[in-house]
Amino acid sequence: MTAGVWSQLRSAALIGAQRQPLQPIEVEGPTAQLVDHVDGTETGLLLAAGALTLARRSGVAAVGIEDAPAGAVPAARAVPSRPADAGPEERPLPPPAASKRLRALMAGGADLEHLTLWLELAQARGMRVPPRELPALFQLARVQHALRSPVSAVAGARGRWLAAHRSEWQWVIDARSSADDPDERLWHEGVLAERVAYLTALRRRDPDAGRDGLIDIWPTEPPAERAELLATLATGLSRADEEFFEAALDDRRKEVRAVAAELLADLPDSAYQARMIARSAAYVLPGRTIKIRPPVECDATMKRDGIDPKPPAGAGERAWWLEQVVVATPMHVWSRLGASPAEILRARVEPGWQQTLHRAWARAAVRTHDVGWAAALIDQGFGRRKDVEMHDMVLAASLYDVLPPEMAAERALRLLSASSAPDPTALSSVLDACPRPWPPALADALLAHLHRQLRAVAGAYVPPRLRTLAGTIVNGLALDAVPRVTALAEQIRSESQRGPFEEIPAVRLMDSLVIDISLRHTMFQEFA
Amino acid sequence: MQDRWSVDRVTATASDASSLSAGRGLATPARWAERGCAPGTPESLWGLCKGSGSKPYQTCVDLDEPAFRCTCPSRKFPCKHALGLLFMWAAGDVDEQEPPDWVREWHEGRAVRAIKAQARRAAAPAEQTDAQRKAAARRAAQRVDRVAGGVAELGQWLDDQIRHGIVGLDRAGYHHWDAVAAHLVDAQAPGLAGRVRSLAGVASSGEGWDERLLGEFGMLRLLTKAYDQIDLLPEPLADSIRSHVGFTVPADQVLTRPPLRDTWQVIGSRDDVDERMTTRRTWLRGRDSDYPALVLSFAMAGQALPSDLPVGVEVDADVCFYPGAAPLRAMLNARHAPVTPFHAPARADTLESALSSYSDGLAQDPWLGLWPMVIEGTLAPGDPWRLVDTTGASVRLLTGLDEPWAMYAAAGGHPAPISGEWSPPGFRPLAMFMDGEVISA
Repeated sequence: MTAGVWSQLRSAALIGAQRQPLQPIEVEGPTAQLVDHVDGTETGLLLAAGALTLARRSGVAAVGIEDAPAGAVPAARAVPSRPADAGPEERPLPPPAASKRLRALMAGGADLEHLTLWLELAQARGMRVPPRELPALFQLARVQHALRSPVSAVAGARGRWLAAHRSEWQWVIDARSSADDPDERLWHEGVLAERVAYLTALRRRDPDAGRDGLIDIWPTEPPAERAELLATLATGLSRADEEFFEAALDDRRKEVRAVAAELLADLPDSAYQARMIARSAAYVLPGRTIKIRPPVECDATMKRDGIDPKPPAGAGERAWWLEQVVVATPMHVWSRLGASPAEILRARVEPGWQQTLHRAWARAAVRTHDVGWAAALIDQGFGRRKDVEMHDMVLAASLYDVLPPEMAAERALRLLSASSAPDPTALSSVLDACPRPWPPALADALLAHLHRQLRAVAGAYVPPRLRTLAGTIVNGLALDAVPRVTALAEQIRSESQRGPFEEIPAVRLMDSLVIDISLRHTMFQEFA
Repeated sequence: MQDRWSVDRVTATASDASSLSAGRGLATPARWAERGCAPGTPESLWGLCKGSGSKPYQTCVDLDEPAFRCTCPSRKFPCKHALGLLFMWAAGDVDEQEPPDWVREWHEGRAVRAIKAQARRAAAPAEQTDAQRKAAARRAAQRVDRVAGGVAELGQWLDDQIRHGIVGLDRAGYHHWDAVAAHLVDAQAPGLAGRVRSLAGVASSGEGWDERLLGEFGMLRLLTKAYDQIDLLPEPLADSIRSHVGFTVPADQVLTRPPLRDTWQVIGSRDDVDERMTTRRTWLRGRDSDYPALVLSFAMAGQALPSDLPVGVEVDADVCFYPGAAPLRAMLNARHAPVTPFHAPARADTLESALSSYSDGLAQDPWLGLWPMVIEGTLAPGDPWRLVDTTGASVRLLTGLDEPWAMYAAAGGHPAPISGEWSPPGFRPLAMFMDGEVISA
C-alpha cells in the first residue's frame, strides 16, 4: 500500500503541481494517518512525503546477506565465494615490540629500506605480518615491486586468503605457488612467464620430460617465445639434450640460435665444444710469446655455431671473430699455455693482441663462473688501467661477482691497504661481492678509510659518491657495531672544531648513519 | 607516570601533514641537546632542539591536557618540535628526569592564568548591568523574528519546488541551493542553511535521486511546520527543533544541567574537514547505563584538536547532555579518574536491536542525524560492502574510497565488535575491537 502511495507522490512531485493539479489520495489502513495531509496543496504533498520517509527510516530492517540486493560488480572485483576462515597459520606473530615497530613504520610513511629490513628480519625468524598491516603492505608492494618477494614470504595463510579477494594482489599467491607443484594447465593455457616457471620446475624434477615437452610443442610455438622457453633448458642440462640443441642451431630465428649456442657451450664434451677447442688451438699458439693466428674468414660453420660476423663499431673483424671463439671455448684448454692462469696472464702476447685476448678470457671467466681465472684477472689488474674503456670497466666489476665472498673480502683488504686513495669504482665493485656483515679485519679497514675520507672533506660539502660509500660501509657492519659508529661520529665532530650547534655536512652525515644503524639494531632486538 | 602514547595517538595530535612529517624528521636524539619527561601535575615532556640559529629552541608539552609551548616562530600547535619530542617519547627514547626551571615556570604561569580565568567566569553573570540585560533580551527577540521569517520563506520555497516539479533538479547548479542557504544564514538559522546546502549532494547522488530528494524536502517541510507550532510542542522536542534550526546553547549552560555519571567508553571517532575548520565527532557509550553520547570538538585550520579521548579508552566522568528530545550531544564535565584503556566495548548488539534503538530515537526526534552503533559482526567485501551480524542480518556500508580492508584482514572472517555511525543510506564503520587492539576503518 505504501509503495503505491509513495510512487503517486513521486510522480506528482516530478511533474509539478502547475502542470498537473495535485489530487487528494485515498488510502486505507495504518498509512492513512500519515497521508491525510495530501489535500491537493504542495504543502500537503510535502508533509505526506516527510511522514512516509520518517516511517521508512524507522522501519529499516536488516536483510539476510543472501537476499541483499547486489549492485553492479566491476569485473576487477568480483566477490569470490571463499571460506570465511583463512585456515591454520604455519608462522607465529612477532613479539609486541616488533609489531609496534611495523605499525610505526607504516604510519610514518614507510621508509622502504627499513620496511624491507623488518620484513627480512621477520622472515629469518620464521614469523608473519600482523594481519591489520597486510592491506597497506600489499598496496605498497603493488607499486614497489622490490617489496613483493619479502611481503609474500611473510604474509602467512591470512595474507594469501586476503590476497585472493583482489586481482591486484594476485602476486602474493603467485610468488609462492611457483615453488610448489605447478599446475599443468599453466603449461597449456598460461602466459609466457607462467610457462617458463612451469618448465623450469619440470626440468628440476625430470629433465628429459622437460625437454621432450618442449620438443612436442616446438613446431607450433611462435618464434618470439621459443628463445625464452629454450633458455629454461639451462636447468638440468645433460648430454641427452645435445641433439635438440644442435638442431636449434639451424633455427630461422637469430635469438633461438644464440640461445642454442650458449647452451651447447656449457655442455661438457659436446661436439660444439670440440669444434671451438679445435678453432682456438689454431688461433692461439703457445710459446715464449703467445702467437695469434686470427681466422681469415667467418665461414658458414662458424656462423652456425653462433659467431657474429659483424664486429661492433671500432673493432676489427678478425679480432672480433677471435674474441668470440675464445669466449666460447672451455677454459681448461688454456692450461696448454702455462701452469696457472696467473702465469698465463703474465706471459707476453704478440703485439696488439693482448687486450683482445685478455678481454676474451675475462668474458669467458664470467660466462663459466671460473673462480681461478676471475681471481687471476682481478689480481693482474684487468680493467684498471688508466685509459681503460667503459665496457672493460663493467667487465671487471662482473669478475668480482664471480668470486666467493671470502676471496672478495681478501681483495678488498688488499685494495684498502695498498693505497690511501683506492680507486672508488674498484672499491665499490669489490664491496658489492663481499660478505655481510663485513669480516672484522675488513670492518676495521673500512671504518679507518671512511674516517680518512671524511677528514679530507673537512667542513665542506660531502660529494655524493662518498655519501654512498659511507652508507654502504655502515650498512654492512654487524648490528652490534653501533658504539663504533657513534664513536667515529664523535671523533669527526671533535676534529672539526666547530661549536656544538653548528651544522657540518660530514658530521650530519655521520649522525644520520648512527641513527640508521641504531634503528636497525633496535629493530633486530625487538624480534628477540 | 602515565603510559607512553602510541604512535597513532601522536599522529592524531598533529594539526596538518607538513608539521607531522617535519615532526617525524625531528624525532631523533641527535637533534636534541637535552630532553626529559617527569611525572607530577601536570605530567610533562620537554627538550632543547638544535635549530638553524645559535640558540636552541625550548619545547615543552603538558601531557595531561595536552598543551604545547615552543620558542620557535611557528604558530602551529603542536609545532614540529613538540611532535618530534612526542614521537621520541612514544618510542621510549626519553628518560625521566628533574624538569629544568624554564619548564616549571611555564607550568606555574599557566596554573595562575587558569585560576584567574575561572574567577572571571564565576563572577560574570552577577556583573551584568541592567542595560546589558535589556540589550541581550532585545537581540534575542530580534533573532526569533528573523528566524521565523527565514523559516516561512523556506516553507514557501519548498512548496515552490513542488509547484514547478522536481524533474531536472539533478542538473541544477549549486546556485539553486546556495542562494536559499545564504538567505537562511542572514535569517540567523544556520542549521537550516546547512540542511539546504546538503540537498545539493542528494540531488546529484545518482540513481534514485528524485525519491531521496523528495524525502528530504518532506522532512524539511515537517521541520518548518513544527517550528511554526513550536510553542505548542513539549519542551524537549522544542529544544531539539531549535537546535536543528541553528540556535546554540552556550557550553557553560550545558555544564549546569544534571550530569550522568558513568564509565564512558570511547567507541569511535571521525573528523569532518572543510577549508575553514575541522569538526571531530567523538562517540561515547556508558558502560553501565548503555547511553550513547556525542562530544563535538572544533578546530580552525592550523589548530590541533584535543587528543585526550582516543578510541579505546574509558573514563569515569560526569557527562552533561544538551537539551533535546533524544539526548545525544553532550559535554564531559568532571572526571573522577584518569582515562584508562579498555579491552572491549561493554556491549555489542545485533543489527535488529541497534536499529530498534535508532527507531526509538527517531520517535522522539524525527530529525535525528547520525546514530552510533556497536555491532558484533563481520564485514563482507563487495560493491557495496556489507556488515553482517551474528544472526546473518546485513546492512550496506558507507565506505567512500576508503574500503575497510585493514579491519577485514584483522578479523579474518571472525566476528568482532565493530562501531559505526548509522544514517539512512547505511552504516559507516569507525573502529573494530580485537584482542585489546583498536583497528580504525
